[in-house]
Amino acid sequence: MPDIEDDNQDQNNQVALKIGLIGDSQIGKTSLMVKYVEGSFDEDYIQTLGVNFMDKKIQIRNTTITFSIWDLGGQKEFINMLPLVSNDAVAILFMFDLTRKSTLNSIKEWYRQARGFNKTAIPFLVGTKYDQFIDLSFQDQLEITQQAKKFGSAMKAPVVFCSTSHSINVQKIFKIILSKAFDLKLNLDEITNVGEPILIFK
Amino acid sequence: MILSPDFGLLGAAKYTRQPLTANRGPSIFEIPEIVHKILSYVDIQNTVIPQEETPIRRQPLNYKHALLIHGDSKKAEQSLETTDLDSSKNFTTSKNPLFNCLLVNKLFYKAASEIISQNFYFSKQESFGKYLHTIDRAHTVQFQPKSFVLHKLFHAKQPCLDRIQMTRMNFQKLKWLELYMCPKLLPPIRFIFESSQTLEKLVITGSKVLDNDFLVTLGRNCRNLQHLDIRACEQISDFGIYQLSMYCHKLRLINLGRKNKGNSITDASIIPLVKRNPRLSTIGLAGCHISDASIFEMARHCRRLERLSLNNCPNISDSSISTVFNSHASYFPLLSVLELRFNYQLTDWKGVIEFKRRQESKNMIMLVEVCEQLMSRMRQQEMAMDQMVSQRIFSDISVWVNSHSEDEEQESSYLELVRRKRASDV
Repeated sequence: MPDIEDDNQDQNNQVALKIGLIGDSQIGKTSLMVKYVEGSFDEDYIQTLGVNFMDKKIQIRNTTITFSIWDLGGQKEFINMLPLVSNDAVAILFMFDLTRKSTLNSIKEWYRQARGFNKTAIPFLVGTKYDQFIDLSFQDQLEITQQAKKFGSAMKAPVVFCSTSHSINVQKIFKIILSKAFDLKLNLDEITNVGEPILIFK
Repeated sequence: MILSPDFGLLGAAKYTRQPLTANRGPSIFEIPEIVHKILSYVDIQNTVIPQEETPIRRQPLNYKHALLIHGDSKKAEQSLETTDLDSSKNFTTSKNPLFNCLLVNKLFYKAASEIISQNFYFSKQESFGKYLHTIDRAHTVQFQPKSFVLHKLFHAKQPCLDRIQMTRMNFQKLKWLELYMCPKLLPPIRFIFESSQTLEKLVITGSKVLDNDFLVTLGRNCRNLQHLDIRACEQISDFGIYQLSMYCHKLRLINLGRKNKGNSITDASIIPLVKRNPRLSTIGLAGCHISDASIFEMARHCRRLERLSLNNCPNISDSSISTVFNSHASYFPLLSVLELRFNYQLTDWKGVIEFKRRQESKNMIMLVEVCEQLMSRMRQQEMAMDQMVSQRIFSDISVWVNSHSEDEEQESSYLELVRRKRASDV
């Protein structure tokens, strides 16, 4: 569960949530993290060596929410750092590249490994590079969307297609995480049609 | 000189008795300053002046209470056991190697007796009796003690102390005078007169004979007093404390805790006492009939207070306890122990809980000692407060996840993306 501590001095409540980002290399895990925390996007690829870590604080009235985002390098040799990222995480984002089917197929193994360390984290299935995905043929889009939905329901995970470079569904991922972590009602419409940026969370 | 592995202080005697070769110069054991230094270390390492140990926590009152404090049954049982052991601990003073040092040679004898005579202490009736027998003989150590401690000599009678007074012992260097649970002993006035410039610590607990007159004399003479522990001295009343507070303004610790005659200590003496002693770091008023007024004065004047014991103070009420500790006040910035056992009249613990959390958020340890009934009362209010906090957090988060924040406005819609793509295709 998220840590809740009460600081009476300035009537400010602190909530901290750890979130792990996991998936094959060159999917855009680090980009998503940087985009969410700093609001910027860099085209250049920098391989993550080991683990990246960033904090995002959000002030809502009397409550400060801190998302501690941990991002694991996608190369196989960093798998030994998986516990660092997945232990105590409230949510784990299993990420794949919408334009590379192989990265979606890897999710099975990532999921199995991460579940070994953390059985309580809320799983998410997140497809990246939606802006490139819409250039694929309808058939490919259909196939990938159906496969992702199938995986999502097997993992009992919300499914989100996002684009970091075009700011699609990035903020929504973290709102869905909060609503899931605290079991809150979310007034947001799902998006389920093939070709659209999928948003399934109910 | 070569130090053999089994080199002890008795070994030193063997060496110094041997003729020394001239070209080596004097042994370090012949230089008085060095011998004095060495023996001072022996003293520091071995001399244990019998003293009440400061408890880290009070022992729980019963099993249920222990369970409330510690949460699980194992720890609760442990907490009930360990404190029993501590109280039965005995002081062993006979094995102090400093006494062996007396027998080494003349120089050692001189240095050791000088050091030994700095601390005068007895914790056994028997050895105290033996000392009194030798007191008249010419060769007893001439005491000019820095500390004078009698520990739990329940049956010692006043003539003993009067006899010591007649000896050549003098008290001009006395800093620490303690008669711990020696109910029939009262320090002769000479002690106080002679130590008037030096006395800093006075502990006389459970005395049946300590009275206000003594306190008045003490106050008038010993203005450097810092530590005054006169627990369970039931003859002491407002008059003595008030008089003392007129003269002693350097106090850091005061303990007037008692089981009986609590009504003889009231605001009348405590208010002037705390007003004039801003350096107080420990105040013990268990069982005293002080009212809220004293608490307010403490809050205003005692900024350095670290420990406050108000167990069984029937006249304090919510009106002071809930206000001086609440979150808008900033009294007692250093407080880390607060005792409020048996004050069943207190019902509003919100202030105390907030205070405890505030101190802990500053990385201080904050211990609130209460009895079983008060503890469950406090826990209930703590839970209610936590629930409120959680509800506030939930409502805050709920608002945020369902609002369109500024960040979100930057999120472009996919329709826009598709439109742009198509435009560029054309």
